[in-house]
Amino acid sequence: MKQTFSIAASLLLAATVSTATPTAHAVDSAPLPQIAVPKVYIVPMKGQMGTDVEPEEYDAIVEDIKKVKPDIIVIQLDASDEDRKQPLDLSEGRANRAERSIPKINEYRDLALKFRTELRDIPQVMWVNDAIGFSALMAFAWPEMYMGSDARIWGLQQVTMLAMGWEDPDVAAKMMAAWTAAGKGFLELGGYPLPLGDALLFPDRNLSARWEGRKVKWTNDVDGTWIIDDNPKRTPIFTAQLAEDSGLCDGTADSLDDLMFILGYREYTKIDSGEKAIDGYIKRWRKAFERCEELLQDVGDEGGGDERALAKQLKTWESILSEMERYPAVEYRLGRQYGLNKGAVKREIEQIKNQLQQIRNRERGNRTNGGNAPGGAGLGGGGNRR
Amino acid sequence: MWKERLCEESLRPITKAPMNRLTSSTTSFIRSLTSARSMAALAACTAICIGSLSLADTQVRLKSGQSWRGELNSQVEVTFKENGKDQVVKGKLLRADQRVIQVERELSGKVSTKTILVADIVTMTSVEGAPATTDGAATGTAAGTTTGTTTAAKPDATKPADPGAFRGVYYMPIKGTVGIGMREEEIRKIGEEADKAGPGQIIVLHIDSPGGIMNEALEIHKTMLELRKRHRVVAWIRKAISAAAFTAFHCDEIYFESSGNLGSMTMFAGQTAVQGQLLADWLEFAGKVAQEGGRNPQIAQCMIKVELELSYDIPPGGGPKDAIFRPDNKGQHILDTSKTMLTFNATPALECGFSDGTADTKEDLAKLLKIPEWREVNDVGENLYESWNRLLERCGEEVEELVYTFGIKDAGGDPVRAMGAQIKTIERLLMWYDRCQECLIEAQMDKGIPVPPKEALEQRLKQLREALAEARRQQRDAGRGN
Repeated sequence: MKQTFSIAASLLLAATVSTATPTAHAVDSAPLPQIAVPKVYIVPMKGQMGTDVEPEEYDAIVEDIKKVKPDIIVIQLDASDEDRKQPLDLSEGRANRAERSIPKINEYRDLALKFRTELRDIPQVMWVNDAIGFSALMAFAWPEMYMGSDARIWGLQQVTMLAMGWEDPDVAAKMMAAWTAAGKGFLELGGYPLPLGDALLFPDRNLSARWEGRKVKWTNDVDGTWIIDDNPKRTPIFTAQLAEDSGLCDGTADSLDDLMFILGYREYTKIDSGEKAIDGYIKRWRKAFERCEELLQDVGDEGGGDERALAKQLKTWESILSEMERYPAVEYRLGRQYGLNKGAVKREIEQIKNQLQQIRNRERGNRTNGGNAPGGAGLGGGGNRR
Repeated sequence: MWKERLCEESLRPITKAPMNRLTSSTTSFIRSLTSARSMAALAACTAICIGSLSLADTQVRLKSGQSWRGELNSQVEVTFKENGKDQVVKGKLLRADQRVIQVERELSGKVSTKTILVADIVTMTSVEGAPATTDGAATGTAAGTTTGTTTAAKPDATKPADPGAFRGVYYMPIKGTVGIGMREEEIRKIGEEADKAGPGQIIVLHIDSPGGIMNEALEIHKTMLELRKRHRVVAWIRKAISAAAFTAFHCDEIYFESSGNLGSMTMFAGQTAVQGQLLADWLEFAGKVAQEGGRNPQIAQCMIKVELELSYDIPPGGGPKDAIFRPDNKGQHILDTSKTMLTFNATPALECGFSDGTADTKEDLAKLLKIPEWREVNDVGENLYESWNRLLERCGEEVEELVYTFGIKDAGGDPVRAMGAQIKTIERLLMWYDRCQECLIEAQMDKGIPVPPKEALEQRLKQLREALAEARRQQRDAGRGN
């Protein structure tokens, strides 16, 4: 990882950080410990929100943290809907639509709440490497925020998009208010002011910032010292530089060493059990998903209605079902990319079982071979709900 | 498409299927609660609800345990503590709820409004009425007298609970769609559990709901009115949208989590918000429920209709509980414009006095509730919630499998056996209809599972049983022929 901080700059920043009072954060945050070599627990939230960052996977991390009792928790957020390698395209965003974040807002809220409440006695720092899409909500759920020097936090238009599609003005307003209030809840949790939330959610809201003493005041106008956003057609984009200049984040750091130095520690002990657990999970579910994709290819190629082919198809579908049940991420992605859900797979399995039964009955010379069986008529509708 | 689907999924306000079924009954019910004039047939019900909302009989429970009863706009004399000294104010009583009163007084020829916390009141008497009694004995309920409470007192939210008498709270999480995960039944049962310890218990409802079915909200309304007569009912808001917000309005106190939100109470069917008389009735009804809970009715109404505006002023020297609301955007603090639907986040709710505090943990909530510590009397509330949700989950999984494999399972062999499998499937679905109809509604609304109506299933079951009997007869006949 590149080092952008000279020692002098680092010391200057460290001094600034140590004397600055935090911005108006509503939720108490435990103070950093006054010890020489703190134990630092890294919690990665990286990849696709909703699959790689699967809220349920963090239950075990929280329990591990309680057991390990670190001095500081660093949440490392690197989840972006916009591929850095692709040209910036606000309308299309990430080139691979399948990798776009999944709008599980309530689950993300519960995940943030879990850390902020169950582990409230341990100081927590949000370290943003990239936050575009629903991950931006997470960035604002912690009061202490640092960013990588090339990190970005984009607006929250994905949240407002959830409320689109209603024509009745009252219903449309209801939906918009409900969704955006949920989005602003993350900012409240992190103690960020609501004018900032309004600007991040609504393109037509301006945003500027000014220092009032040591505090930053955000307003939905263009009267502040920094005009963050005066474009009525889009929500603000925070680069690390802008975020630092405007006081949105508490500093920039490109490595954990930098971050810890800014926080006032020359030495620290890194605890990577959380990283290992999350990395392992991501590898496992993605491997399972790849295998399911291959299996789907196989099942398409496995033509023929003979017993052997059907038995193979049955085994294939059962393997897919097993992975779907094991990893909700696999189920979600198969739904998003292939229109499959567990119900459809179960139906497929039952149909193959019936065909096999019929073949076996015929082979046994059974007169009641199922040809006139009253099967096949479902209760209505297919299995594809995605 | 996924956006619309998720939108419905997560907000689930009121979907077409249940609402179409519910609209007519909802209409009549709300009318029965709000328009006694036009709904004479439902006069009894109306009398109960309107009666409870009437402002003719206003009661202020004092810290001493006594209470004052009288009418708004009557002349009162109030002695209260301010900066450690007793102060007296005489004037017209403009507002009185469980937390604050406002008295309009004349000073040096100028009219001003004095806001006084109920907790600070020492005595309160009507100027034309009998003076306050000091012994706490009941002196009747004649207008304008301070009386000893004649019903078992609920704990006073404005003073710390007596550590010796404090038993604990009855805590219950209520999550999910109103009418499915969040139901009247569990709220009633936690009330019954609290009743075992006598009146005056503290019930905390931890609400996390995107709203839901209006009929259930109206059932909850009836239960909550009763519950609040006996106990101190507290809403702790993680998410209370639509019907869940309406539920929260019934509580004595409302606290938010930092990320909490509450509002968006527009009632709609299909894609369209209700209009006309039903809308007028709903606005009136929700406003009265808010008022009965000691809150400004305009707050509730701005959560229903987009055009309505709301702002407020805090009088000099006043705090959030002194907020004076106005139905326009001319106040110092704008809450709702003509283009937005009011939905509170924690901070605005606290700043205008709507919220009684913000707490992210039970321990923090205990401090706000002024109880010595967070202690739950038992786990009945948690168990009620969990057992119901386990049933919902189990039912959801089984229904999904039953529906998707119907007509396929065991269809490869003996036709009699195949029909038997279908009958078994339908019998299981009908069992779930009887045991957990909410789950079948959720399966349709939430997962898009095409669960047939109960009547269609019953008809199909009858046909299948007849066909099965016929098939068996044919098998028997064939057997005899052989």
